[in-house]
Amino acid sequence: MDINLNERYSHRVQGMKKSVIRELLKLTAKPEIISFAGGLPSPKSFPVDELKIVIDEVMENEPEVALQYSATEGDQVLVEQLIKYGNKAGNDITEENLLVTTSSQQGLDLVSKVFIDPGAKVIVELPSYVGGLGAFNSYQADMIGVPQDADGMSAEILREKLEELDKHGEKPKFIYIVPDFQNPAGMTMTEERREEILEIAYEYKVLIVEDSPYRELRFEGEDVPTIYSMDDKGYVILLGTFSKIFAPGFRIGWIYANPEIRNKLVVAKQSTDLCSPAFSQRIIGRFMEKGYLEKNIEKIIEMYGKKKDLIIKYFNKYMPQEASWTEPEGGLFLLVSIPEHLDTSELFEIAIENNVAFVIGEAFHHDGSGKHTMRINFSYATEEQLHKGIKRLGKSLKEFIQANKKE
Amino acid sequence: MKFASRVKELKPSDIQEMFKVIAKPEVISFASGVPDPDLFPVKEIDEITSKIIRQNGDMALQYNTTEGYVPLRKKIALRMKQNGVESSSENIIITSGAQQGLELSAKLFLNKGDAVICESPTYSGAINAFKSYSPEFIQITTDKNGMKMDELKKVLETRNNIKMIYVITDFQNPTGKSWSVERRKELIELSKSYDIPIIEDSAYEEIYFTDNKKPTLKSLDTGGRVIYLGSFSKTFCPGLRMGWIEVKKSILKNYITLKQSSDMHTNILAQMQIDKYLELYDFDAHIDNIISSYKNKRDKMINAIKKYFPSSCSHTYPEGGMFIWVVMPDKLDGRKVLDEALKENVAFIPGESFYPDRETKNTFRLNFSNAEESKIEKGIEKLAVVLKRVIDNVY
Repeated sequence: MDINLNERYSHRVQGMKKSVIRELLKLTAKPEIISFAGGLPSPKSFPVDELKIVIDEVMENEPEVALQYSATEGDQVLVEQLIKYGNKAGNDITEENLLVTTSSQQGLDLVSKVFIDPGAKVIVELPSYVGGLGAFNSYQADMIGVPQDADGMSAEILREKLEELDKHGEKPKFIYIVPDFQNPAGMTMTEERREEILEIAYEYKVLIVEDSPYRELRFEGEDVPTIYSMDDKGYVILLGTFSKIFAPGFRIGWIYANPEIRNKLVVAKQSTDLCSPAFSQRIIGRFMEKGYLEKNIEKIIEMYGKKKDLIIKYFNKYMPQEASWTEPEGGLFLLVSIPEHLDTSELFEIAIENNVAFVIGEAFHHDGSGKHTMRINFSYATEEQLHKGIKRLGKSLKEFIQANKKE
Repeated sequence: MKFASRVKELKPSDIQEMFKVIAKPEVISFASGVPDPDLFPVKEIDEITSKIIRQNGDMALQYNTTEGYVPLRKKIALRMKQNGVESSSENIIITSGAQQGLELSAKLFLNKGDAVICESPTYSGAINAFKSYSPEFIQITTDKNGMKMDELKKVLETRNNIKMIYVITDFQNPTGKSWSVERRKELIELSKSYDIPIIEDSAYEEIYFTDNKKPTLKSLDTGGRVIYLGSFSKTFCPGLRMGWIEVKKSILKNYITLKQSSDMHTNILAQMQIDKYLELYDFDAHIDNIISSYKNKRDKMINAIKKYFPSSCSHTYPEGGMFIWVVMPDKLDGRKVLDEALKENVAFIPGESFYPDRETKNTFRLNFSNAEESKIEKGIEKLAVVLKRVIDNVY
């Protein structure tokens, strides 16, 4: 008889849901569909020519390092480059603060592994990055949502929640924030709000996990300092990635943390995958050394900035007046809201019939709220697809609103 | 700041720590468990990589699916079929090294306090991966044919919290031992009677020095109980961090969900590199090269051990893989012996990290794959001097 495992799996697996996005993406795979659903960078953002040069040089000069295991902490060349890169961006880091990860998703996994026991409390934004929610859930965290206002996560409600937990003698493990061009909302937390949140974190002695995959991609407005750079007490753990500024296929990211936490993360990584691919690490290290990364970031900023302007233009032209949307100053996403009594998962069906796709907002809310919102990605579609796709989305939404009026 | 309770159990890997000590050029190191970089197919990888970036760069640099690149999964399934496993691409998920296979297996099955059965000693990376999920370890003694079945049976009969059995049947890390075919069949029978999944870690399976390969547990299994962890680290190169899990479809979907939140997917360029290599080159001929090089080094090391080591130390005779295991007289501690050996510029890995309870101290692991061939005899001779000295001091 074949093995029966259903009752054998760990509790954490029994509690895990299939990713909504993953299921929906299957529906969007048809070639006639214009998809704003994925979070993919534009393939035009990949620095193919420079990459060829670097790969040739690495394979010529140092293949025995690039093809061997690396230290868990990271490849030496990449580590040196990342320290320079971090400091240049205003984050005061040394080797002691740094860990190279197999993507920023692994950063989320490792932070969870190191901090979350079953039932541990974690504060998340409403809405929040779905991959973060998934990682916390896989370690059986008990998530508490704090809504955003125009300046970012609400400091007032954060304080209320912490106060309430404190009354029961409970302390959350960390506050999870994507402060720059957030996925999914596209919003950026103001400097004042960052200061406030950090002060609250100090007051209640709670760590902050600052997930920052889009930060470099600002196409308008002024840079706001990272929360990590504002922190002088070692409370903030920052997660970064090359996925949006170089290539996601390489799966390389990094963590900055205070040395005590960083050392625990190193040990956790050792048992997770020993080390990140030396080949990818050495290539990115040499790529940065040659100054290619800065140039590539400039190129991407220009490309995405243009796409953002276009999509806003088409929104204004094609979306019904019942819809509103965020206007990001950077990144890959914006969030559309429709009247609160409507559910975007129903809209999704109409949209698919009209050959256009997005991600339903519910996926970004740990508590299943946000049903009247949807995430739109504007980095992947071509300019022509942006035009056609938003036209189709506007049409779908008008049909949907109309249909709901009749009932 | 309070870490999760699992963090208390996690210790930095001795092996990773050792890397720092043995980096000095004057040290003859038998410590690391890494393959010989001279055998990496550098020219071929260079050619393949240029081709992929040129022809298919958009895909090689983009996000991909969690389960992995379909053409590669098909090729892996085909290789597994040639080894007697009823496999298809839908039974395979690509992992970021076999280490991730261990991590995900632990995450999939282990609640705090569940028990894992393993060989004694066993691979330290597996111990660490499992420890992250706070299980109880039940170590089963091995003889020259593998795990002792009467001991295993007794445990299976008396315990009800056992979630999985973890074994490396071919050229085990750290002992280099290989299970007999008979013992493999017995293990499959027991896993059937008690309906317990087996994690088969086959990182060294293809590096065999004898005429024939023994059947994998996976190929002997008919009930879908074996979860097979494969790796390209020893046969191709570790720097791409490529492994896979072969498992029945209903279990595979859980691995996909877990991998999604762990690292989303494995490096797609690396997957395409290996796929292209398998398509364009003779992988088996490449493995034959590795085999003949390692076999030669194994012979050199065994001969030197026989010539120089004190008779009170015993050692294994591996028929494949990368390691020899040495057992010293009871009172000796591998760590202390290592301190002495380092003074003479020779290194190895003390055995205690290969036991979950770290109780057994009088053993150590020697690696021959990455040792410089011309220095093997010299290194073993130096080590033998140290061993004789410490034994004389203690006894």
